[in-house]
Amino acid sequence: MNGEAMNILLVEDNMAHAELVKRSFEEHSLANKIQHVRDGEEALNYLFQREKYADAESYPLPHVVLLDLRLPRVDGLEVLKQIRMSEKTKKLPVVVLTTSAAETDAARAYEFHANSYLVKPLDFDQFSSLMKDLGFYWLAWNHFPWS
Amino acid sequence: MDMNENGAVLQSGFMPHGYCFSWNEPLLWMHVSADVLTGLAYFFIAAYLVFFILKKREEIPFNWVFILFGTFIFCCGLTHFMGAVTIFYPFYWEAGVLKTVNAAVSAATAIVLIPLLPRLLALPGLQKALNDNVNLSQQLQLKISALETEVNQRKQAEKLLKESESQLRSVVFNAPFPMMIHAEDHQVVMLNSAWEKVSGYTIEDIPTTHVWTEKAYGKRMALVEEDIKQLYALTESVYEGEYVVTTKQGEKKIWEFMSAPLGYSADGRRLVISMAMDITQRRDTEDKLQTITERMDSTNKISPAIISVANVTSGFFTECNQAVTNILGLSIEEFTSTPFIKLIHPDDRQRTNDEINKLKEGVDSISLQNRFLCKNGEYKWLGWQASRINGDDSIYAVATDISSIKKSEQQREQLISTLEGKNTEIENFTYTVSHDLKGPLISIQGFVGMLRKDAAAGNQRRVDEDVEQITMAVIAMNTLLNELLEFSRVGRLDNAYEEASMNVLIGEVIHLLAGSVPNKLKFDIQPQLPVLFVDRPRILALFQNLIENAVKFMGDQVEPFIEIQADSKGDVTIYSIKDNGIGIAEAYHDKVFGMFEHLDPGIEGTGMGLALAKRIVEMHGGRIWLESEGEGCGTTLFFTLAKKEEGE
Repeated sequence: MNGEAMNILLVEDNMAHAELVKRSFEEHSLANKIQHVRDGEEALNYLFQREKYADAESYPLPHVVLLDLRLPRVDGLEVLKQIRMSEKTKKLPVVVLTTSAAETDAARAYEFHANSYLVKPLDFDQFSSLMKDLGFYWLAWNHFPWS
Repeated sequence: MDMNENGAVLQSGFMPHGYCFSWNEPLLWMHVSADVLTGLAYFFIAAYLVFFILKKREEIPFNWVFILFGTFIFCCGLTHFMGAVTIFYPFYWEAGVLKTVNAAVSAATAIVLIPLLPRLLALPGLQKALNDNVNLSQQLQLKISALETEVNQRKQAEKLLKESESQLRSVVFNAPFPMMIHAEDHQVVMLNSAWEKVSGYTIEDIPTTHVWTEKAYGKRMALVEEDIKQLYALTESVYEGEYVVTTKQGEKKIWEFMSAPLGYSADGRRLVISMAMDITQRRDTEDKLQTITERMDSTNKISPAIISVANVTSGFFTECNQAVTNILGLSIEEFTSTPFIKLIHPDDRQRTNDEINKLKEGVDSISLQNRFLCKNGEYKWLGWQASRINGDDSIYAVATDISSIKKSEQQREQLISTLEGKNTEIENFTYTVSHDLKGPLISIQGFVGMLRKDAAAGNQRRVDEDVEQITMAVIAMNTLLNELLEFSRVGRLDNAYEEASMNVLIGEVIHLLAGSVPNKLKFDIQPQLPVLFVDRPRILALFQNLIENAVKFMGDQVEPFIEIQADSKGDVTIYSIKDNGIGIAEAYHDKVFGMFEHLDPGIEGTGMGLALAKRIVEMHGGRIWLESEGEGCGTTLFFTLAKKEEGE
């Protein structure tokens, strides 16, 4: 664990789910900052610093992207594909966090080089535990290619 | 002898001359026989001379000399006879008289000859006659040798003739077709080997034409005999025609006869040579060919398939059957007078040529499917089988009408693709449903957990928030379930079609939505919209959804309006609902019709509205789409409905 400020981009159209993720991270004091966007288009705008996210100071590139798959406007897999196509973001760790346990979704996500594929557990304790592990793994243990 | 001795002595008193020989018998008989023979010879000579002169050679000069000579010789003969007689009988007086006469005649002759000799010598013809004789004999010699040569030549010719005759016989005998030489008396003169071989009869079996006709023609014998009879009068060869003959083995053979006169036999009978050609096999083959041709003709006639011959070099069909008319409506004339490539659908020409080239390159047969132009301008699918005709640039091609097969193939493919579409739809549905239903459940579970913690911590603000989240999740789930139920009903639980005035329907919708429609929103509805024949409750739901959507996505438009129209283009009526709301970016024009798709996460809704609308339109056999210049430019939704007549 280092003392660097950790940023997460949470791409989630369901407000309740976003709230749950945020609260779980808060509880375990895992992230310094969670940036929440509600659809795929906004996620891409953020990552490529377009429109209202043009200011790199205020909207820095996250350490990890938590990406839902079924998203309004631009689908989660399309977002992933574009992340991997851009030189700037292709090494960015992307963790898919979705309600879908469909094999095809997982397979396609890995095809587009998702770093991990997680299914939201129905059980609260499990959900809470997953969020904790997820946070520790990516923000504490994981070594990033650029630092 | 004793009698002679005694009698003779007694008569005259002289002794027979035999006494002089002492009756020595051998001596005695020698004298007797010599005298008699000489006498006879003289008589004959005399007779020759007289006969020669008197009868044959009257023109000879001095013929009386010859008579004189004859008389003289005759007398000499008599004296010799008398000499023989005097041996046994002593007639010496008579003998003396005879000798005297003889002497007188001889002397007279000698005397006569003396003056005659010079005259005889002076005869001019003698030497000439001698010379002539030499000439004649020379000429005779020449003639004889000429005659001999001729005889030799004749012999040679005869030999050659015999040889050529035997050659001719051999030719006739060995000729590969039956030949018979027969004579006018009905005798069979010759049969050749082919005749014997084919008919089984030898010349011993049929020595006459009677026997032959009886054996070979049976009951028809009389007729044939009549024909044969006329042959002997022939002066040139004649074709007789076909006859059915029965062989010795009892087989029926068809012989084609020709006869020709052959002159006369050595004994003067008229001969005829009759030649036959055994055409049984040829006739048999012809009959088979005839049968095959007839069968093929009738097969061609009744065949539902096109049977044709095409020349791949000229590019024309050269033959075809009636099926081209039955299938394509083209006459045989039209079919064969048009280059076949022109009859083929332009899209199929290259493929057809490629296949034909395979045949040209030596492939034995090909099969292909292509479309052929019909008389009425339409195209029909034909399934072809074609093969090369050896040693020719023609092909034999057979085709069946596979339009109905193609049609059912297309229908099947369409059905499969519809089913695939349905399957995908079901998969999507299941996927979406499981995903979207899970969402609220996770929320509920999550916030219940949070609620416990917050309640334990006594954080009332958080507790209220948690409860609110749970309530919202439950409501969302309820809405979702209702809409899913509604969605699944469309197409499954349909109502009977009925007439419905579009204007009335829209009026009902506006009434239903009265509470959520802002007052400033203006409706511009075409007054004479068509009367529809539809599943009324579903179409009502359709309009409700579309109008609701237009209202929901109006944004902060100052002068909002909704315009509803129907526009007939040919058979199709396009209905449109136009608004001046927030519009939709082009990228999402299709996506919005998907289940649970919503573009704006800030606006309430399950994203089921347009999916349901699409389903209702499709159930009515129509199509739905939208046009929008982009965000902020408003949206126009179009849909069509298949025309469905009452009673269908």
